[in-house]
Amino acid sequence: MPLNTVTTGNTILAADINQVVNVLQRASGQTEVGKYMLEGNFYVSGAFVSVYIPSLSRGATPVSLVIDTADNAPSANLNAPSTDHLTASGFHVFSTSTAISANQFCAGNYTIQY
Amino acid sequence: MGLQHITDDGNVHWDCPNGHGGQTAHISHEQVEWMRDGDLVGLPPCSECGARMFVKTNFTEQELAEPVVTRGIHPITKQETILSVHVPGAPNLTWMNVHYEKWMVDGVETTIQIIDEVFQHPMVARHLELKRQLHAAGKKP
Repeated sequence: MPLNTVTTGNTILAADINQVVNVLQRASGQTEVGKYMLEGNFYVSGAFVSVYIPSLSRGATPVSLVIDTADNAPSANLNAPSTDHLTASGFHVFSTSTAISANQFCAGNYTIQY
Repeated sequence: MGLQHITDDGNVHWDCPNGHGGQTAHISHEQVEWMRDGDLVGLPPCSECGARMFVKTNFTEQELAEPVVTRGIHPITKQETILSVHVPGAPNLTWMNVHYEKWMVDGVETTIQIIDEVFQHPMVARHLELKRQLHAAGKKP
């Protein structure tokens, strides 16, 4: 959601400040959305690739997370991505290979629910 | 997002975040599974867009710390009500129902907020129930 800028000389309202606060510390029912990309070269079948995605929000505890592979479906030798370690600081995305291979990747959107 | 409902017999309901409607699975479904950290439970991907939801089932005591609710006589309405709520835990895990009333204060119409109810984020109980049912069914991290 786009944020409003405050014009010099205008009164700064609580809502102006809170639009930023609610990004840095999400309120109940809000979501944070973004992108992730996972890529790796695999020396063995079953090799692991992962990336940690820090959230913009801190201090608010997420209750769930959704990822998709809308930007790039998993390459031929990459399993569908999974996640773990969802905390107030971010989450971990990972996957494993199905064969020795180079440049295996997937990418998509994430949505963290607070 | 998060679980919309979980029945006593283990049926889990949630919505696709990309607008593909309600999703349902039983906890015995192979893709209702613990993730490696034993914290998140993965649900089956949406059959239309492939988006997959993971729900958090472990919350720390600090995150779930009970809110401190102070009751008393409201200085304007003169009625007993909730005067303040201090949330020592994660701020988004405590919800409040409020309504607004207009009162005349020193001849000026003033809008005041009245807190009706303080309660825990509804997803927490559902997700903890999912954890309990998975453990009872022998699915453990």
